Amino acid sequence: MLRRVLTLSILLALVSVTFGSARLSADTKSVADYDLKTLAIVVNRDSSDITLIDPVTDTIIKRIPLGEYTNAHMAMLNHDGKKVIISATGRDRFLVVDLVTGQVDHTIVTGKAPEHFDATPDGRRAFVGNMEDSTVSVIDVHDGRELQRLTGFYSPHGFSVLPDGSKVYVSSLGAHEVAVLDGASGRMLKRLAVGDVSRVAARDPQRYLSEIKGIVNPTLTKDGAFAYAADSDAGVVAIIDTKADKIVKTLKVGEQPWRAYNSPDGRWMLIPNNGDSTVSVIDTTSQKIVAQLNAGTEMTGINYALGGSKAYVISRGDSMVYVYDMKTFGLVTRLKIGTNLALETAATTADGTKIYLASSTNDSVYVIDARTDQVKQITNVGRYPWGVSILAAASPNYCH
Amino acid sequence: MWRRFSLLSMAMPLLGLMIADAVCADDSPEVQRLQERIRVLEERLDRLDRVDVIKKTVEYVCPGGEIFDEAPPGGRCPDGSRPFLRDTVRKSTVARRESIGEKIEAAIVDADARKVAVGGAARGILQQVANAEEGQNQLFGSGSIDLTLLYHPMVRTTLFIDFEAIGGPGPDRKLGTLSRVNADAETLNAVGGFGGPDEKLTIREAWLWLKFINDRLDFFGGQLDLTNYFDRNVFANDETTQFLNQALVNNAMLKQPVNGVGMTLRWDAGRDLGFSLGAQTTHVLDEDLLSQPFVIGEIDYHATFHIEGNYRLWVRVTSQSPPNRERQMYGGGISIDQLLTPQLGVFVRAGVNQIESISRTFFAASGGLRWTGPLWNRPRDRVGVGYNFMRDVPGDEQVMEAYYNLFLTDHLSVSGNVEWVIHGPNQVTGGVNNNVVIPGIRVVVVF
Repeated sequence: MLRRVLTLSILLALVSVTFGSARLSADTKSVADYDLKTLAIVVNRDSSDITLIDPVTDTIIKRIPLGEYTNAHMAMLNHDGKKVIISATGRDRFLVVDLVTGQVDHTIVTGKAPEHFDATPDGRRAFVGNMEDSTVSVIDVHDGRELQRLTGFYSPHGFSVLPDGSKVYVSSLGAHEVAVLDGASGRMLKRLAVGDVSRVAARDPQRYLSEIKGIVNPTLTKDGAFAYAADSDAGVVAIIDTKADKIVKTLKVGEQPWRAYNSPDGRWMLIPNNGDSTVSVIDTTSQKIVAQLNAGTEMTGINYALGGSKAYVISRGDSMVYVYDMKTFGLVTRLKIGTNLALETAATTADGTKIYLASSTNDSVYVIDARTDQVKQITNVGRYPWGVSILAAASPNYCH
Repeated sequence: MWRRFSLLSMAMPLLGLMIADAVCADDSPEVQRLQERIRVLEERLDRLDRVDVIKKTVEYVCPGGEIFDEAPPGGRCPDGSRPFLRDTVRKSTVARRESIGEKIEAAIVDADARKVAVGGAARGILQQVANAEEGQNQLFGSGSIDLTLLYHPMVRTTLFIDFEAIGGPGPDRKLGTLSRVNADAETLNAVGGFGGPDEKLTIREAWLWLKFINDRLDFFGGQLDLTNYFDRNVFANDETTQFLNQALVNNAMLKQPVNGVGMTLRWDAGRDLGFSLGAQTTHVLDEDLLSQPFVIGEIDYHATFHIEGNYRLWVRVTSQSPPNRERQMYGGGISIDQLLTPQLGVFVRAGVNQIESISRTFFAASGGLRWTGPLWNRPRDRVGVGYNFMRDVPGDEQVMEAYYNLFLTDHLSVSGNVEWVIHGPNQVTGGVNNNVVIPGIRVVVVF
């Protein structure tokens, strides 16, 4: 009898240990076990952390704290695929975070209120816009130090580094110009005038002189040959030849254009016009407007999916996503995400089948399946998720 | 016992030191957190002193879009082309401390600038007729209320609307004078005649005023009173506070239509010289507005070399009043006002009128003076004396008028006046007005 009891006990213990080990192994699956370039990185403004989401299971892998009161604005995996670079707007810092260890490797002091940035293709340097003192910090990401602090900007909001890293285009939200910087030295090469609002501002100073809505972002075409800069006050898009750094064409689009979003195949530029709730479609080959789509209010972003065959226009004002067929430019459907939600920005997965959309007011990320246009919710991603980025996204990443 | 006591004595201090060390050496997580929060708040403090400032500036832009804050070297762009100059606006963040009071005041000023300004005036006039064949000893009353709205929809643009309610046609319903003894009540008379309602509610004026070319070109369009722009006179132009007789308010040969749809352009040519052009319909709105318009042009000059004066020359073409609308009338005139001393000014008007198919030329001439502060202790009172002679289709007429405007407050004035129709036809009865005296009193409240 005693022998049986002992044998049974030992067996039970062995089974427990085995299961326990297995469970432990599952719980401690490391970030390193994932393909980092495909992870969705959600930046949470108010909880000052970033959240990693597995695009396969749509589950939260990890939340990485960034330090209190950082109020991060933009986060993206660096081009080398190893570190996440983050603008900590609340602390006037730029952070370099190791995704695997979850540690903040570098905390770099910048100018006031850094928001948007772009990095060189080798991931070595980042150009960061400090909105409150209108400077640009040039950051050495590897060494973790600020190399230069450049002046001569007016609320530098958008950054685009050429694919070869030779030049950086910086758009000013507080003026109507785009600056061209030398990618190596940071020296300002040129400033290009986009919209002209002098006449209309003289007639209506209440609208045009109390607040300036300049240029949100200079969006590069896929080959980097041109940059599209939309001037919100002027209602135009300037097409900049990046070789000669000249404005070769200016197109009149709708009212208060936000910025241009380039399709993955480089064929189209879509510009949401928040003044009249339309989207202008520009053919980058002919550099002409080929369609004007009716959309929603307060549009914050456009994501392409399924190889660029569908475009998803995020309407923060309507809490909806408008889905368009990029062959016919017809409206496929409107996805009602919720009620009184503040939809922010989104990222498309590497395979182009899903879109992760941040919703700040209910601390959620919505997953839109582009094949079925079904939507599901991931809750409690963090407080006030502001944006999502995926390094290997099938649609260009952006911030707002 | 002694051993235990010794051990305890040694252990207690050691224990105390250990506890103190544990408390002081490492701050608790809560303390660290609070210290971090203080650091963050200190970093954010200077953001409170930063404000966004939007400035207008000038930039040179080359054809390819390149911007230069100053003229490029040699006045040429790098590609050899010429840059053009343009105004632009830029937003900067500067360190400036603005008190709460200043912010509130700025917000109030901003809100006031956006509001519609409402104003108006109320007038009451009593006139007694003496020594007349018709209307003898009758007391005529008229009154009006004007409500004005003023709004600036955008810079250099003004919208003005004047609603008027008026009643009481005045003594001319009996006297039928050529010159019209109550200019304020003329709104009630039919054009060129005396029949009309006894009271009326009307939009007297409604126009948009635009300024162009560095504020040198003024455009007025809408329901206009053309006498606000042509044949003006500093001493004889306002029936509410100056002369009440129409021929002393405007040139009797001006023949302006009642307020109607029209436009006026005035060009400030500089050196105190101005050119004006006006056109107004003479029909009601349901007829062809372009048919038989009243068209007038004027040159005005403001002299300031020793003491101020204004000199105006106008010409106009219009159609005669019904039933002879098909006849064109051509006229011209002058209007001069000149200060002789800071208190004393004189005025002269003269005009001629030629009617198609009528060989006779009709004319009018008026003159007078205004004396400001006639009594030593009443510097804002005014006295005016004027005389008009006119020859028109029905006949000749001479009138004189004198008034005393008693200034009470900026918003209240009382005027006593007396008109003397020396001689003229009575167009109502077909008779004659001889030495008809019309004393009157006016009260004007402005709000």
